[in-house]
Amino acid sequence: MKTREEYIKSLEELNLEVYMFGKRVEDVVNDPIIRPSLNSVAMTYELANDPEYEDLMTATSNLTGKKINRFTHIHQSTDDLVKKIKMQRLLGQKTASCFQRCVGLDAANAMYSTTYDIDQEKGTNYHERFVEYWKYVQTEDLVVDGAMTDPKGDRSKSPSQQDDPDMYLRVVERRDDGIVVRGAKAHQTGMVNSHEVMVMPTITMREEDKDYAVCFSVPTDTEGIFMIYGRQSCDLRKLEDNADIDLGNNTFGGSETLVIFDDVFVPTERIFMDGETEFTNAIVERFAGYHRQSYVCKVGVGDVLIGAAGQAADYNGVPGASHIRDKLTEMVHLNETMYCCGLACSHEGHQTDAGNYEIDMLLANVNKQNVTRFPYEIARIAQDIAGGLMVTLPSEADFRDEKIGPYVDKYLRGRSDISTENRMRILRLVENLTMGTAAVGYLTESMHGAGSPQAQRIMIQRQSNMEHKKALARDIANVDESLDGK
Amino acid sequence: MENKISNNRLSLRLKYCGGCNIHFDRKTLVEAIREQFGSKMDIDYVSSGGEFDLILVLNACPVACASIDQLEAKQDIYIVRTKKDCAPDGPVISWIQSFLDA
Repeated sequence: MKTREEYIKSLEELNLEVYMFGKRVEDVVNDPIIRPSLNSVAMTYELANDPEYEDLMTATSNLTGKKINRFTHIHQSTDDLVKKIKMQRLLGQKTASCFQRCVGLDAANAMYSTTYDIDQEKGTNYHERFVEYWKYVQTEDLVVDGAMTDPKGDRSKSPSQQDDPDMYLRVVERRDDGIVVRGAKAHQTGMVNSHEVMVMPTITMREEDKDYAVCFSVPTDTEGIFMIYGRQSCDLRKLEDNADIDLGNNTFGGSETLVIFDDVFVPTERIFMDGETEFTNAIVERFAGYHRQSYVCKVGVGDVLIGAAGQAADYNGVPGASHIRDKLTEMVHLNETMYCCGLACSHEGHQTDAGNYEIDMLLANVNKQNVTRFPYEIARIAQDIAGGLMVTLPSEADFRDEKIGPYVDKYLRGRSDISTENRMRILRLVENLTMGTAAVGYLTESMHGAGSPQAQRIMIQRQSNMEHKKALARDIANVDESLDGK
Repeated sequence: MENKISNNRLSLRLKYCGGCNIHFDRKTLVEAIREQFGSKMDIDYVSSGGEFDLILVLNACPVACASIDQLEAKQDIYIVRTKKDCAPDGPVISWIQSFLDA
């Protein structure tokens, strides 16, 4: 396994093409806007090498028999699925951010079973290719960006019906030694901190969409790939001199990019699906299922936000107020309800034909549906408890200023035994999580990541076994069906 | 590191769960163990495998999910499951002391 330092060095050796504010980023690893997101991914390496956390952070590979980072593991049991979500809660607690590495793990487990299924029906050798590739990922302890979401253009049209044929990523040329692809993937979490990108189709496709039914993996610095960095609320605070308190979280963050594939060559050994449109539904549903389980990471971030709200109440001198205690209890209730769903879909997992373990689809979708709502309510209550000062607080520069600083210190103090600086730090953390850079991950990503709310409702409807429920009702009500239709 | 056993001293290995839900103060307990027994025992961490005299499994909550299938102790294994177990003058300390006294 790589250490934190080795991971950062390995990123420095990549030649990533990243653009931000209309310019190419010269030093991606040390850019002050990007770096917090790198630090979050680096934590997945740091904790894996720490005896205190390795029980969750590592696993034994079914492919090599070696000890590996759990973020590269092919799940071998329901216990693995449970440990995955515990690991994610832990990382959420340690970074209060999106740590970006789940998406590759989820893509890998979806690809593992889907390539196997394709081979069984089509006589292809995608699974063997994928297994060889994933051994390389495990051995080198790489970060893989799972890239599913196409720009999609006109949502009423299929990929092949679009006015611009590049609105879904597609094969534009087939050669003896591989394929050339063109298109883009949007909202790519962590791509800028990844060694590899694994591309998957984003919707179920028909025969006419054959060129769009493609799965493959390439290094993130492959010729023709470039990224355009996504803005986040309050992102420019990171560029301020000696930025610290005003950041809320001065170490960790998340990141998203729009990734362009401008005629990128993919060698044959890295192609895991090419034209098998009938398996696009499986890859989409499986990846989405695993990723909807993964959103339990927000429980860990929620732990930090609940703690910040409780600390703000302490600093305000009202920790014992009954309404404060009740609000904190409600936050915990919502947070643990999400955790319950994460645990449930993991414990109720099952083995696939390929041998790896998959979550219970219904419960994973219920989990994500809750995650589209509960963090918003937790954030609302946190803002309620924190008070309006969270958004009217002067800057750190004012607090440090020789002339006006003492006034800020005097009038913004809560309890006399608590420093104004510490009060400011906690309020800025609440701001960061509920409306600053981290709100991208904690709120809007919770809404739309791994599929928007309606996508889960469709899956919940499909998985709900309604006919069984109706039969139960008929049985209890002593319905006599021989009376019907007369 | 974790497979080395001192010829003269009892070996104690510490195995942590992943710590996603910390209810017990493991840090204070480990500090107390190192302070009281550090000079008398060979104390280190363990991941899996190896032969050791004593193994202390430091779970952080009552779920006690630390993986211990691969761990074998020559003398005894203690699994922390409660807050009381983690008291710096509690049963774990007495448990270790009993092997030194034997």
